[in-house]
Amino acid sequence: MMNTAESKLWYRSALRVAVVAGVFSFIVIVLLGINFSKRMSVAPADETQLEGMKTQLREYPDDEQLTEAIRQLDVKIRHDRMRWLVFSGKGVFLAVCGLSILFGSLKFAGAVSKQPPCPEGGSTTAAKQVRQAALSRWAVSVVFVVLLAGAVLLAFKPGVEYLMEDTSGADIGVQWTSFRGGDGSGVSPYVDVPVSFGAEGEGVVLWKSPIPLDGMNSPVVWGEYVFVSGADEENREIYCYSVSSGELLWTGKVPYQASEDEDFIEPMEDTGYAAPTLVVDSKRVYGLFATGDVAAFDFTGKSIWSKSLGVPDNMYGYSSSLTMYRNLVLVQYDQGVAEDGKSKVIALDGFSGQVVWQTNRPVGSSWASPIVAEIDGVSQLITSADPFVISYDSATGAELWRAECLSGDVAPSSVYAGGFVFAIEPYSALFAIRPDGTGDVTETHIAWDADDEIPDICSPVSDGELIWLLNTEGGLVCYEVASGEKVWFHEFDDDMFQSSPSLLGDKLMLISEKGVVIIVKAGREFGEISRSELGEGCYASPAFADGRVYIRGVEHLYCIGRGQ
Amino acid sequence: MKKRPGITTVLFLAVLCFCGIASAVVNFPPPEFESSYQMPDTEVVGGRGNLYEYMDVAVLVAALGLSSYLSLRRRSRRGMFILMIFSLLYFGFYRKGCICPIGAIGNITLAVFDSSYVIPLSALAFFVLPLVFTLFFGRGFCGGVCPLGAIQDIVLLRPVKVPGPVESCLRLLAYAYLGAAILFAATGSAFLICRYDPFVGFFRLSGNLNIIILGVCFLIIGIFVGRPYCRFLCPYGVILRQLSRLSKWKVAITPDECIQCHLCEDACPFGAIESPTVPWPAGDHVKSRRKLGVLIVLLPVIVAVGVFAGAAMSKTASRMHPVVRLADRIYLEDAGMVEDTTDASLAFRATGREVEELYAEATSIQGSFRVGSYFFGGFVGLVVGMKLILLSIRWTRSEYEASRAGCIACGRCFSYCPREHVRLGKVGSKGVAQ
Repeated sequence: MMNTAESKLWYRSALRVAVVAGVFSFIVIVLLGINFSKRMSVAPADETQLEGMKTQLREYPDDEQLTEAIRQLDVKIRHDRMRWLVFSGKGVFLAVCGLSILFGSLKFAGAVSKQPPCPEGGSTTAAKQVRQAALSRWAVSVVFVVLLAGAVLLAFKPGVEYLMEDTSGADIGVQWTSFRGGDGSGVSPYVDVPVSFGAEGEGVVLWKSPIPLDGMNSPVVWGEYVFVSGADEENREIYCYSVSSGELLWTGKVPYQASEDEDFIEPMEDTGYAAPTLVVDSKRVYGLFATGDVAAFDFTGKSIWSKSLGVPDNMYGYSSSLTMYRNLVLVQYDQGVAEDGKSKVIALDGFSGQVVWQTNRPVGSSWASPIVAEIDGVSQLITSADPFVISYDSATGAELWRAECLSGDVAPSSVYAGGFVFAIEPYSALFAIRPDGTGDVTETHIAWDADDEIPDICSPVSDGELIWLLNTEGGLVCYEVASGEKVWFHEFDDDMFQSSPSLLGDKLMLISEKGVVIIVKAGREFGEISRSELGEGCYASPAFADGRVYIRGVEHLYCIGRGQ
Repeated sequence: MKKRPGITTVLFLAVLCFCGIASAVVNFPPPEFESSYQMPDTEVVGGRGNLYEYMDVAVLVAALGLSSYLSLRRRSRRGMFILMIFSLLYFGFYRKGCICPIGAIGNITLAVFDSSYVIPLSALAFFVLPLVFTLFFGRGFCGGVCPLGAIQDIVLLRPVKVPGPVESCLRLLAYAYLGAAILFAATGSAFLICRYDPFVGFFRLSGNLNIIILGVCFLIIGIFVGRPYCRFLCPYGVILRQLSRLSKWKVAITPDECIQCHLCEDACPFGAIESPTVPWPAGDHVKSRRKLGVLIVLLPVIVAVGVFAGAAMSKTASRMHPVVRLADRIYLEDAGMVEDTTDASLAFRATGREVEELYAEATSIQGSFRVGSYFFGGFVGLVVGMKLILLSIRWTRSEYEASRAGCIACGRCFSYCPREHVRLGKVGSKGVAQ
C-alpha cells in the first residue's frame, strides 16, 4: 500500500523500469516494422522479376545464361528471406521480453499503489435491476438480429453452381474425340450410318467444305463441332466446322515457338506438317504439329495455351496423334534412335498446358499413335515403337509392362480387343499380347503371332472375335482373335490404302487413296457390299457421329448422311 | 505491512528469460527451376515421444489440482497468480500453445464425425480433464491453467466495468463461435479455434500477421477489459460456464459469512460478482411473468428463425472447406471467369482427376454443410431464446456471490473481504462489523 516510504520507492522504481522497458519495446517494434515494410517492398519486386525470367525461360528453354540468372536470383531471394526471418525471430523475442517487463513493472506498480476498496455504496434499486434486465434483453435481441443480418448477407453472396455436364461413359463414348475414336479402335458406336452414297447409295454428301491447308490428320467430333488441322512450312492451323452446315466457324493459328537454334528436319511429303490427329474434350480441342508446337483452343476459337515440345528429331516427319486420359493430353513423343534417349511420353494438363508427368522411353522414332484402354480397372496408355510395346499408367506415367517384339519404322497403331493388345511390326508380324502382366512380358504374355499380309501403315480393327488388317497394297486379311488362325484374305487389285479400316456393326469401311469408299462384310467370309466415289484422294481415317460419317479428302472435308 | 519486492513479477521475468527462444519454423518451397536434380523424399520428423505427451497430461492434472486447492482451500490469489505464470510459460511459451483444451474441441468433434480420424489420447485428456475438474471444483482451469487467459490477465492494468447489457449480448458471440467451430470441424473444413487463436503467434514468436494483429488488439483491449477473449469468444469457456453451474464446490468471496459491507462489489474485473437482489414492485413482477410466458412461447420461433438463417448461409459457409473452394476455383477457371490459375488448381489438374468427381465431392460436402448449418442456426437461436428467458426470470440473492458460471477462480476478490482478513489473522474479528 502506498502509505510507506518503502512502498513509494518500489512504486517509483517500477514506473522507471516500465518506462525503460516501454521505450526499448517501442524501438524494437519500430525496427521490426521498418524491416517488415522494407521486406514487403523489395521482395515482391524480386519475385516478380523471377517470375518474368521463368516465363522467358519457357520460351527459350535452352538459354543457359537465363537459367543461371534465375538460379542466382532464386538463391538471393532465399538468402534475403532467411535473413529476414532470423531478424524477425530475434526482434520478436526481444519485443516480447520488453513488453513482459513493461507489463510486469506496471502490474507491480499497480499492486504497491493499490488503494483499499471504497465502493460508492447504496444497494441496487429494484427499478435499476428491472431496467438492466430489459436493456439486456434488448441487447441480446440486437445481437441476434445482427447475426441474422450477417447470415442473410452471406446467403446473398454470389456462389458457384456447378453445371455438371453429362459425362457418363455413354455420352463420351459417342463422341469421336481422337484418331479412330476415343479408344483408338476404329469401331463406330453408331451402326445406323449411311456408308454408301452417290446415285445408288443410301446416303448423300450433306456438305463438303474446303480445308485451307494440307494435313494427313483425321477429323474429330464433339457435339456440334468437327475439327481438323492443316499446316505448311509457315503456318499451323486448327479448323472448326459446324456439323450442321459445314461452315468453317473459326481458324486457330498456332505460333512457332521452338527456339531458333533448333534444327528442323523437313518432313516427307507423305507425312506433311500436320499428320497428328487432334484430340478434343468437352471444353477444348488440342493440336500438335510436326514442328513440335502444341496448342489448345476453346470451342469459340480462343487460344487457351500453346507451347513447344521442342522440334522432334524425326526423319519422315512427326505423325503420332494425341490422345486423352481425363484432363491429360497424352503425347507419344518418339524421336531419334533409342540410344539418343530423346523419346518420351508426355502428359499435359488440358487446362494449362503444363507438363503433369513425362516418362522417358527406350525407343527411337515411331509414327504410331498411342491408345488409352481401361483394363481391369486401370487405364493403360499403350504405345508401339521399335523395339517395344510399352504400357503406362495413364494417370502417372509409370510403366506397367513391356514386350520386345517390334522393329523397323512402326506406323500402325495398336488396338485393344477381345482381351488382347494387338501390335504390328510393319510387313512382318501381328502380335496378340495379354495386357495383364507386369515388367517384361515378352516371354510370358504374347499369346500368338501371325506373319501373313501384315500392313505397314494402316492400323487394324477388331470386333473382339475377328481382327482385320489392311495393307497399303490393298490386301485385306482376317484373323481369329482367340487363336490367331487366318480366316480369309482378299486383295483389292487396283487400290492403294493409307486410311485405316473402320468397323460399323457388321460392316467394314475402307477408303482407298483414290477416294473410293468400299464397304465389305465384317464376317468369316469376304463379301463386298458397295463402292462409292468421294471424288478426291484420301489418306485420313473417317470419323463417325449419329447418322453421319466425316471424311477428310485431300482438299475437302466431307459429311455423309441421309438426305431429306 | 511490509511488502516483499514483487516476487511474482521477478519470478515471471526470470523464468521468461529462460523460457527459450521459440524460433520460427522456416519452410522453403523447393527451387522452381527445372533441372535433373531429383528431389529427395520428404522426411517427416517424428513427433514427441509418448513420454512427453504423458508429461503434458501429468502437468495439466497437477496444475488443475493445484488450481483447485489454491482457489478453494488456500484461497490464495498470489498462489493462483504464480500458477498462472507457470501455465503461461509451460503451456504457452514452452508448448507453444499446443495442445490446449480450447483447440481440442475441433479434434474431438472431428473424431466424432469422421471415424477415420484418430484422436490422440493426450488431446482427449486435455479436453476432458478441465471439464471433470470444473464439474467438481469450478473454473480453476480458466483462472490458473489456461495460457490464453493468463496472457490477457497479465496485461490487465486498468479494468473498467462492462455494463451488464453489453456483457450479456457480447457473451452470445462465444456461443456462435462454439457452434461455428463445431460445424467446421464436423465437416472436416477447418479447426477454426486453432486457426484463429489470437495468442498462439505470441507463444511461437511468429505467425500470420493478421492473427498477430488480432492478438495485439485483444491485448490492448485487455488492458481495460478483463480477459475479453475468455469472456466474449472462448468456446471452451462456454462449456465450462455450464458445467461450473453444476460444480460440487465453488469459490466463495467470503470464507464464512457475508457481512454485506459492499467492499467486494467492484473487486472482480470480469463482472463475475453478483449483487444481492431486492424485491421487485408488484407491477413489474406481473409484467415480467407475462414477458416470460411470451418468450417461452416464442422460443420455438426463434429457434426456427435460427435454422432458416443457418440454412441460408450454408452454401457460403461451405467455402471454408478446401474441396469446395477448389471446386469453385476450377469451375471459374474452366468457365473462363478468371484468367489466372492458383497453385491448388494446378496441383489438382496434375492429378488427372475428373473435374466432375471434384464437383460431386464438393456438392456432397455442401450437403453436409446444409444439415450442419440447420443445427448451427438452431443452436444459436436456442441460446438467444434461452438467454432472453433467463433475463426475464427474477432471481433472488441475499448476499454478494461469485457467479457460479462466470467466476474463473482467479482469487482477486478474496482480499476485498474483511472476513478473509480475519481468517488470515491480519485483523481481529472485533474489528469487523458483523
